Amino acid sequence: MNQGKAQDGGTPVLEWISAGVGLVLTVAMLGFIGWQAWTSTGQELPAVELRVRRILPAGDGWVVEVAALNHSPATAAAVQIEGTLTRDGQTVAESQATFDYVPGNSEREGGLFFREDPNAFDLEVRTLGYARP
Amino acid sequence: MCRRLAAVPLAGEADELTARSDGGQQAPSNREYAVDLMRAFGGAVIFAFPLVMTMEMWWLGFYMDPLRLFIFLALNLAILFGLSCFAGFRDTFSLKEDALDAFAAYGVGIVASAALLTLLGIVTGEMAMDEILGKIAVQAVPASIGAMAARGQLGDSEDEDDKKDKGGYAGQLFLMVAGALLLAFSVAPTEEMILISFLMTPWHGLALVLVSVVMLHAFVYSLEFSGQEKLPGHGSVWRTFFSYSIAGYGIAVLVSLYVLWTFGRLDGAGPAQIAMMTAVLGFPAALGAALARLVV
Repeated sequence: MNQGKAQDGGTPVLEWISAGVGLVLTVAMLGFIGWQAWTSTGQELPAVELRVRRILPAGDGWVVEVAALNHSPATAAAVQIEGTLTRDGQTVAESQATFDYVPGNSEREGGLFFREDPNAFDLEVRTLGYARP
Repeated sequence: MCRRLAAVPLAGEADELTARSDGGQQAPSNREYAVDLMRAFGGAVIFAFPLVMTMEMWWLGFYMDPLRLFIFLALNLAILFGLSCFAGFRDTFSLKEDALDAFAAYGVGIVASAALLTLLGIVTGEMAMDEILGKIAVQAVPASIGAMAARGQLGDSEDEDDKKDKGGYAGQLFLMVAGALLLAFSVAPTEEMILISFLMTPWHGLALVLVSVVMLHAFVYSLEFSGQEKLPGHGSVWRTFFSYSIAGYGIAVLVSLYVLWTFGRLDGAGPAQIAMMTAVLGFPAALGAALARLVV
């Protein structure tokens, strides 16, 4: 069938496929971003949650691998995080790191270095602040 | 692919061969090949220097996933091979020569980027070997495409149009992929690319997708009617729109996603971020797809 069409100077199959794929992708882009535009108010603030992933020895100390999860569609830049090791209410060590970006509804990973073994203390990680990109 | 593409205009090719042998220039002499090689170096330097002078490109060697880097380098070889069918250092009539040209372009790209990186003091002898090799390997990609494109732009282009017509519609699609990949790759490593996607609201993203499609179509349309380029299977305005502009934007989207994945930009990113980054990178990719037929 297609061969007959091609002989008449009609449209080859490849042209149908590539135009079809292109159309689907273009409409998908427009539809998805349009839906985002429709549903977002533009007033959201970043909501960054920190999760401790792993604690491993690193060099002459230890590293705490931290994942920052942004639950809001708003992107946060220069996100400062702080980790504190405490024992009986006494702060033993503090460490800080900065994420350049934690994009909206996305995840970034980083690490905090400590001289002491974080497993031997109470470890608390928290976000300090952010800037709008 | 080459074999199938080359098989289309057999008559034209035969004419070309006859014309060449009539003119008494069946195979290029060593001197001619050396001149072509110098031209290739010129093209490599022109295409490579903007990226050689980009800080993020120097770091790609460390943070890029080795497997993704390997896939990217292999894909580059395939692109070079395909480009050789349309615009090599010299007219090639066989798969073997296209493969030789692809490797030669890669070689020129590697030597040119190694020379540039050393000249600018970006690569020094004190660095670890894998760091040096990584930097050169990444920079060799645009350099080698420049080397391949040099013939089309700097060289004598009498046979160029014949070569381009060889591919037909599939060849046009391939050129769009190559052009989109080159331009998307040129901007994807920079931090500005992701920063822009954070600065834009979804409304901006929507507008950018529409502008990309319109610009792509404007290039396709103006090229078709300028008399420089005849599109294979050119027909109605709507057919041109769907078969070239919309298909071209589809290529731009897929190439953008691939390049983003290669540079690890998709890792941990939410769907909305991915869509925005694709819209941002899709803009240069669409321009690359539109202009590929001019550049190559």
